[in-house]
Amino acid sequence: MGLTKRIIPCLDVYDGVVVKGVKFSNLKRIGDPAELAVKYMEQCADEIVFLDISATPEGRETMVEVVKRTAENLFIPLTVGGGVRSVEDFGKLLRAGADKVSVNTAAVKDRSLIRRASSIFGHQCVVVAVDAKRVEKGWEVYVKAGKEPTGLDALEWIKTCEYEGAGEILLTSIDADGTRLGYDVELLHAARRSVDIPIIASGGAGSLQHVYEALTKGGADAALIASLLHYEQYSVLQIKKWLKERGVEVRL
Amino acid sequence: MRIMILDCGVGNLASISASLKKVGAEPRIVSSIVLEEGFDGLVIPGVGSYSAAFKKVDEERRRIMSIVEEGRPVLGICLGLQLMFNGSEEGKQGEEGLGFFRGFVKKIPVKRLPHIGWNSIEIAGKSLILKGLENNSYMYFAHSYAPLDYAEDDAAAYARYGGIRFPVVFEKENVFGVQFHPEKSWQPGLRILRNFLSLCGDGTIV
Repeated sequence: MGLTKRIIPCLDVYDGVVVKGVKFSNLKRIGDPAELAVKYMEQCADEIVFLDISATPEGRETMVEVVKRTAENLFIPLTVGGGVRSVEDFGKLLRAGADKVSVNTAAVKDRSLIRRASSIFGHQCVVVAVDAKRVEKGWEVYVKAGKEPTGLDALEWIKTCEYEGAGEILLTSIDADGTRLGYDVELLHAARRSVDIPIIASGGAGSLQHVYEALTKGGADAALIASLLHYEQYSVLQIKKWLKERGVEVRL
Repeated sequence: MRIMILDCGVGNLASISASLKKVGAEPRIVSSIVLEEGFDGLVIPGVGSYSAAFKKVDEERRRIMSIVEEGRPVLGICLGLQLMFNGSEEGKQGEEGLGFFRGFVKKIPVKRLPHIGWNSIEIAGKSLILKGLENNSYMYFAHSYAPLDYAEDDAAAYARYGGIRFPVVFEKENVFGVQFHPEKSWQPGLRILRNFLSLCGDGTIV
């Protein structure tokens, strides 16, 4: 009994619709974000993440409306990210009903955004999303949806995020993302040793064993899951039951 | 039941409002407490930073006191609970809390903070606000501070995290407080809000 590991479905939202595509191409409509979020809540999901991938001002306004609609029926935490640039963006999404906001590129450009947002809204609602790619020595931070290298060492960067007041790190391995060959467990483990704030593992889940490894060997506090769910391969409940049978503490 | 939600200026109030509606209440978000309009209860959500929440509660202090003295139920959530103690390490010196519960809020002495996620709670004894809840129900937490200095008689449930045990539910007469977020804890959380509504009515909890 104590704190559980979390399973978090991630929904990519494009102009108000949940989509799935490989590396941002061949987008396929999957459904309504508010309806899918509630469906996953009923399957025992611990939280929901909405990632706005439209990255246009219109798309962002649509997202605020989607969050408002979702918050009316969702009674587990909701994190919203994608295109967040400023403290005002944080405020808009939180007022609409998001519990946490994730920020990526804008935090790398100006790390004071993390401190400003956490001092106004509280640390617990500031999630820094970090996209990391393996390099010769360690991992490098990439921005702009994983396209632009920054020269920053990923482990140093997450320490900075923690220092600036981030409440959680959403850590995506660019190498593993979309491969379905498993999370980058080494990256997770190295990150776990670098900071004390919770780490959410993302990118690469293709089987239940992968989720198990991220949460145990990788030491992640939570696992973000997308494609495992979208094609109805498993329900959240099935994933959690499977983990529980193997000794991972989860909420059922 | 008509419930006031005190707006502390920043953060997500849509969730608490939606969850109160879900259990059958008529919630209204207010930036200042209305004593006359026949509200049945008050929720102090306390989302956002400590200083912003303290400032609002300090401004509203006399009106909050009146509500409690009249016997209307008050529920503090997370930071809203912490503001019901004598003070907090997170605040500045001289910033006095509401003092409904005797004690002091401190940073939890564990390595891994913030304490974020679903934690089971141990129900310690008789409690009105926890009526009908199973022992070891999971609740959603997001905090780094907790009332570590407290009167045992006021505590109704505890959580274990990082090798320590600390109180997470408080009740004394018509004042209730929870360290976790019932509005984000799905069914067990909604049960707590439903109990609160019953307490705002004739007090019968089914």
